[in-house]
Amino acid sequence: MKRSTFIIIGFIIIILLLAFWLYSLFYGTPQKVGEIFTNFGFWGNSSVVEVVPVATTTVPEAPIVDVVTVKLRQLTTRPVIGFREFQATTTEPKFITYAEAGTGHIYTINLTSGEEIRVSNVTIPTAETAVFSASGRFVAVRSGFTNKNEVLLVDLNDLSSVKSEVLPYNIDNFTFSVTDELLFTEITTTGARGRALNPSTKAVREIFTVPFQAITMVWSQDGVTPHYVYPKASSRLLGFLYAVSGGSIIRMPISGSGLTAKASADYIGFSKLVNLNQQSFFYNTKTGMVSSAPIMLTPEKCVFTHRNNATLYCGYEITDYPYTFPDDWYKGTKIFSDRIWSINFNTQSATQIISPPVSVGRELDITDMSIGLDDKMLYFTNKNDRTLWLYEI
Amino acid sequence: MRFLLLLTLVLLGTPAGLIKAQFSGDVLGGQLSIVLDPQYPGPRDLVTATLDDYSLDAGGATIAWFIDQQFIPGSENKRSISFTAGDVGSKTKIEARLTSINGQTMVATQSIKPLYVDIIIEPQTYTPIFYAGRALPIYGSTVFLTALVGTATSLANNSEYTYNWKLNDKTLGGGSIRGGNKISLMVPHGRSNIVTLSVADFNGQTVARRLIEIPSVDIDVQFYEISTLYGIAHKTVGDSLNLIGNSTTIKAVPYNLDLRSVGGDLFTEWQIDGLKQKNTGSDPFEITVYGQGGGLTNITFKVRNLSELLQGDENSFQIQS
Repeated sequence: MKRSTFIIIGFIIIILLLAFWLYSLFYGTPQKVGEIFTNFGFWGNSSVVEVVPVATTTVPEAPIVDVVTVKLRQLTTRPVIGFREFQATTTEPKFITYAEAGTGHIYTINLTSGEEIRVSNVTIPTAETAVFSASGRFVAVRSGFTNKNEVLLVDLNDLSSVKSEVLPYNIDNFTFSVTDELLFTEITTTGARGRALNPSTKAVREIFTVPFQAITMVWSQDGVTPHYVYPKASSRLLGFLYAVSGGSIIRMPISGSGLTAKASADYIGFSKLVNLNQQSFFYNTKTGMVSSAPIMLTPEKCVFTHRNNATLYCGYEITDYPYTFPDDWYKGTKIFSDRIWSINFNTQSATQIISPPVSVGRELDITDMSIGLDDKMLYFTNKNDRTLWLYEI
Repeated sequence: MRFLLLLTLVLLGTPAGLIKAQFSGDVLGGQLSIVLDPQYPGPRDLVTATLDDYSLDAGGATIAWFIDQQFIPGSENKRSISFTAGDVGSKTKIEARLTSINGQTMVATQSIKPLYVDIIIEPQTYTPIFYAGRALPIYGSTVFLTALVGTATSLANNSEYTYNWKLNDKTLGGGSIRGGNKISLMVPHGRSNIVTLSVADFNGQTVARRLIEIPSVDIDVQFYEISTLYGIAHKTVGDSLNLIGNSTTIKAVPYNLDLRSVGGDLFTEWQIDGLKQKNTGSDPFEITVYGQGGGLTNITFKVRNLSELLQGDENSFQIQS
């Protein structure tokens, strides 16, 4: 073959390839769904791709259960002024009933389904503190954080017609006993007196009198432990602990500056200022022995369990407790980022069981620590915003 | 005659002298006694007992200590010992035996019968209802003092005791008062004042003495945010507050303000960025602050008791709107 012929054939091939490339560029774009770019369907090439489904086994539909429940969780976004756990029987769901700050509205949360309903529409303006009776029938609510100081008794017996009345007493401190009596203190001209009101009959009985007014009560929650009373705490002033026993006041061997206390039937946990540092101790009421507590015990941050008088749960932050404690914490100028601890007085040990900043990314200043009847749930409010929280033990 | 003389010497001589030494303690030329610190200890108090023999010529003498007739090991020749007082109602006898070189023994004894005598301080100054702590005294304010005498089974009947109160060594109430376990006083100048209480029984014998400090603090103004719906917050505003919404209501709480001045002869003033604010509300301790459209706003509150000018304070914080 001549050299010129070979060059002409090569040139024609290059021209054809260039023409095909240009055609593909301008006319190869798919016009319909299912066409493929530059696939012109020559030689029977189809754009339809058969998709072979992967063989699967059929699974019948089932309800999705979230078994990965967070142990520490926030129950309300509303500020809460009082709460209590209720459970009709061990097989029925637990409920937490709470009162809303400012309005006194009462809500209940089903802890199994998460459903929340408002059970009382009675508005109690400037509601500041609430306590629920053991049966759940009665709620005592303090109203008026500014000028007035009234305590209303709300009867939830008939939810379609909730009744409330202002109690005719100058009530200072109040709670409900295990038998649904409203226990309260009244300020008198010579001191203070403790009384018990039957909310159904309105009968009142005297419990004790003390010759000073600025009192903090450690009410008996089990009907076995005596009531204790001590002067309101201040790190600058001495405090002394007294037991109320059969109408008599008995001085306990516990005293000190900034004294605060919490009691079970067998132990009294207390804190006081020692060498300008707050320190905690526990007193065995059977043996009279005083020992150092493994961590700081703040009554509002601690609760004894129902089943063991030597164990309790506390909110506590590992930090210095200044000599101005508890005054500055009560004022709200000192804020803690608490962890929850389990404490055993018998073994003098404390174990951190959860760190809220780590587990939920929140800093909680725990107060009003409470425990469910079966010792399985801890409830408390966050002092920073007064929201209600739960921790499943 | 010689027999009579010998008999006289036997009766009036050495044995009689020894008996006298044990009870009057002057065989070595002086008196022997035990000094307790504290003088009237309370139950379970740590007590130090010190031998006071300075008026004696006790050179070379040996000392031994006994508590309730039991020798205390290691107490040989110690001039003082420390021990824990018993519980309320118990009685403890402390004994120090000093034996001279020539074998003569002198004995000093003290008894302790611990009693709870508590003094409860109740300052008549202001704290808000949600505050769980005790109010603190301020200069010029009234303080109530209550003494409680505690026995093993109850608080004692006050009429069984006579109380003598002193403030900075000045007698209060004109002198000792039977059943006078309550007294009030005005807080004098100074950061600290000392109250001394002596309690005597029916026989006039002092059974307890206590000494306590009455601190004197300043008014402490703190700010709290108030929600129209939910009420007052339980933590203070601090140095700054981020304004959420158009406005917020702030309450100034003057901790430790003399209760007599609350609602009385009181000066209060709010300032926003240095400008005095006219109080339009019913509560002079509350102010509603509106957003300034960005930036920082300085809020100041001043309070002063016009009846007692040293009672006053001011505090401020910033609002970021």
